[in-house]
Order: sequence, then structure tokens, then C-alpha cells
Amino acid sequence: MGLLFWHKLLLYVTIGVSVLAALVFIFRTKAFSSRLKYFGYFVLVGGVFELLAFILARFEIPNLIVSYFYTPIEFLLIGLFFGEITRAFDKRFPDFLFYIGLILIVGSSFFLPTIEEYQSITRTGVQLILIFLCVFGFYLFTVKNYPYNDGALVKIIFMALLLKYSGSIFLYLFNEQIATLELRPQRAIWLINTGMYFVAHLIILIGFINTVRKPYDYNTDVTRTISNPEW
Amino acid sequence: MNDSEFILYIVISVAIMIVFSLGLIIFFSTSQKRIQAEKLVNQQIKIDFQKKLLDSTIQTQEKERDRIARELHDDVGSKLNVIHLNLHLLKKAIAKGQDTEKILDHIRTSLDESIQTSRDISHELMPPVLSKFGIHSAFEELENAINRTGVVKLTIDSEVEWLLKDDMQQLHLFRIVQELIQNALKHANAKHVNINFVKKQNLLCLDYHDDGVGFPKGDTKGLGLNNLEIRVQVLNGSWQINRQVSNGAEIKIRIPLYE
Repeated sequence: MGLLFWHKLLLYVTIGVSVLAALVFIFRTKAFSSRLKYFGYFVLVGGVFELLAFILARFEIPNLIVSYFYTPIEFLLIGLFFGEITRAFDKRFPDFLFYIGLILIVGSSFFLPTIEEYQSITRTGVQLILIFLCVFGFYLFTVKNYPYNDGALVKIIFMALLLKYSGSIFLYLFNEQIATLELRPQRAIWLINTGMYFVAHLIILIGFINTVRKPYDYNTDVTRTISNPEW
Repeated sequence: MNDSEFILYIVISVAIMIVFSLGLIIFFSTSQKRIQAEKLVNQQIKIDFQKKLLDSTIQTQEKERDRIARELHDDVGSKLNVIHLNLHLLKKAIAKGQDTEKILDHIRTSLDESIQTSRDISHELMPPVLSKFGIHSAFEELENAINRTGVVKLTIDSEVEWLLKDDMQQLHLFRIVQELIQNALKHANAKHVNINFVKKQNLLCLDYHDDGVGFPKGDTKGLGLNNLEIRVQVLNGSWQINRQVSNGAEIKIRIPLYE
């Protein structure tokens, strides 16, 4: 069993985990609070894109084009999710990050000569912004009272996203150099990315399952009335 | 840089980023736990303090009720009994055609005393001068009444602009001063008591000083001081006892004013 086997196995498992997380969200949407809807959509989109990329690869059709659509949608949905969370903390979402991301996404599409090329800079920039948002989210949780019952899941999501983006940011940054390597070391390096993706989506899936098993009554928002003196 | 070096650098960079992220997650979660634990401790302190205040309020109320009940029973009640007895004597004297002048005098005296006692009780509950003429006049009256006893020389300097929100605030402040004087009379054996009011920006500063035995060392507080603390809390103010004064006692109370 060589590297290719492990890579494929991890890839299948990762696709399975992300599709499973998406299914949990689809079938038990009501168990999630309204603040998590955008993240749920992101998981859903992630699952669909994973499947799509997999199917395209199976039929030997170049699937790099998928990332063109995935990156802006991911940025938009996760940005909206962070917007909801910062609003829950009575804080303003740092708008400038949204504009930087937008400039990166739109701008880079003008400079790419062919669609087959990977948007390395866009992806790195977007990931950097999302890493910053995760750290900002953790910071808010530390210094302010989160007034809702879904705080545990939100923190799990931050953790998963932070690990995923920080673990793969260098891979996207040096994407072009990696592409010049031989196939085996290339595969080995991208295995790290798949591994981080797997870990992140596994954490999200565990968080989702926990939420579904113990659904909260989000309407009561007990913490907002009893234990939050700032309210 | 050859390929293997490049791969090594990439792997190290990724590992550093992952360790850094894990470190951040651990740092934030431990910080959050620590902050929450501190908040819990502070909340518990607040709850304990509120409980203590509530306890002290109830005790003060009960003590006041007990005092009023005793004064009504021992003073007014006994005087009314005397009147009742004298009315019997009066009835007999009239029946026998005896002189009733002395008995009527007794009745009148007892009635006057009863009226005075009930007036005193009512004044203590709510001094009429406070509601009629304001807090400055109430302090003047209190100063005169205490000085008339000759036990202690009281000076209240209350020539400030009174910017209290409502009558209840005036009453609380008046009770605070009463409590301070009561404390000086009961426990301090003071000969001179000075109370100064000064307005500093949006704060009303009450500085109390007496030449008595001073406060005992340590953080002990009796019912009177607890009662005082409650009223200062109600006025959103703060207070401080200076226990280090060589002779006498010093208390500083600060109350926010509403302009």
C-alpha cells in the first residue's frame, strides 16, 4: 500500500465526512440556531463542491475550475457567518477585511492568463483573512460574554477553521513551486492539505452531531437574561 | 534550494502554523476559563454582599419596628392607661361631688405627653421639616436638637447646592447623617462631631470627623454601619472608614449628584 493508496483513502474519507456534515445540516436544520445558518450553507456548498470535484476527476475532466467558484462562495458564506457572530457580541464586523477579500477575488481573475491556473494569491489572501477572523472570534469569546447557547459549537467551528486554514496556507502560497516538484513529493505535500481538511471537517461533524443530539432551546436564550450582567 | 530542502521547509512551515494555531486555541480557551472563573468569583462576592445587605436591612427594619412597638406600648400605652384610670377616678369623684381639678390636670398632662410621644415617633419616621423645608433645614434642626442635649457639640456644614434626584435621596442622606451621629453618641464617647458637605464636580462629598474612641481595628461593622452602607449603596455612592486616625473617627462618603 503506497502513498497513492493512503492519499486516495484519506480523500474518500474526507469527502465522506464533509458530505456527512452537510447531510446532518440538511436533515436537522432546525437544531441549529439562526446564527449558524451561513456556516451550514458553507458546509453544504463544501460537500457539493467536494463531490463535484471528485466526479470531475473520476471522468478525467480538469476540476481546478471548481476552486474558482469555491473560494468566493466560501469567503462570502464564512464572512457572513462571522458577521452574525460579531453582531451577537454587539461588535461591528471589520468591513475592510471583506473589501480586501473582494479585491483579491475579483482582481486576481483579471491577471490569470488561463482558467487552468490556480488562484494561489487569492486563496492565500482569503485564507489569511479567515485566519484573522478566527483569532478575532476567539478573542471576542475571551474578553466578552457570548449571550447565546450555541457558543460551544461556534468555538468548535473557529477551531476547525483555524486549523484548516493555518495548516494549508503555506501550501497555497507556494503552490506554483510545489507544482514543479515530482508527482510523488507533490502528492505527499498535498496529503497534508487533505489531512487538515479531514481534521477540520471531522471536528465540524462532531460539533454538528453534538448539537443535533442535544438541541438547545434557542428561543429562550437563558444566558442573555440570567448570567450576562452586561445585558 | 533543491527539492528535498524545499519540501522540508514546507513541512516545517506547515507544522509551525499548526502548532501556532493549537497554541492560540489553548491560550484562548485557558484565558477564557480563567476570566470566567474570576467573573464567577466576583459574582459570588456580589451575591454575598447583596445577601448581607438584605439581611442587615431586614434586621434594621425589625429593630425599628421593635423600638416603635416598645415606645407605643411602654410610653403611649402606659400614658393612655393612666388616662383611663384617671377617667375612672374622675367619674367617681363627680359621683361623690369631690374636687376634680387635680384629676383633670393629670389627664391633661398625660394626654399632652402622649401627643408629644406620638409626634416624636412620627417625626423620627419621617421628619416633617425635611419634606417641608428641605434637607438643609432638616440638618439645622438636627444640629440644634443634638446640641440642646449638651452631650456632644455637633457642627453640620451643609451650605452646598443640593442636587439630589428626589425626596427619597434626601431622606437616605438624612438617615446617613443620623446614623453617624447615633454611632458617635452610642459608641464613640465623642465630645465634638463635625460633618462637612462639599460639592466637587458631580460628587457630593460628606466628611465626618469625631474626637471619640475611634473605630476598632479590623473590618468589623455593626448593624448601624451596615445600615449606613445600604443607604450609600442605594445612592450609588461609595464610603470609606479611616481606621488609622490617631484620635477619633473619620468617614468619607461620596455620592454622585444629578445636574
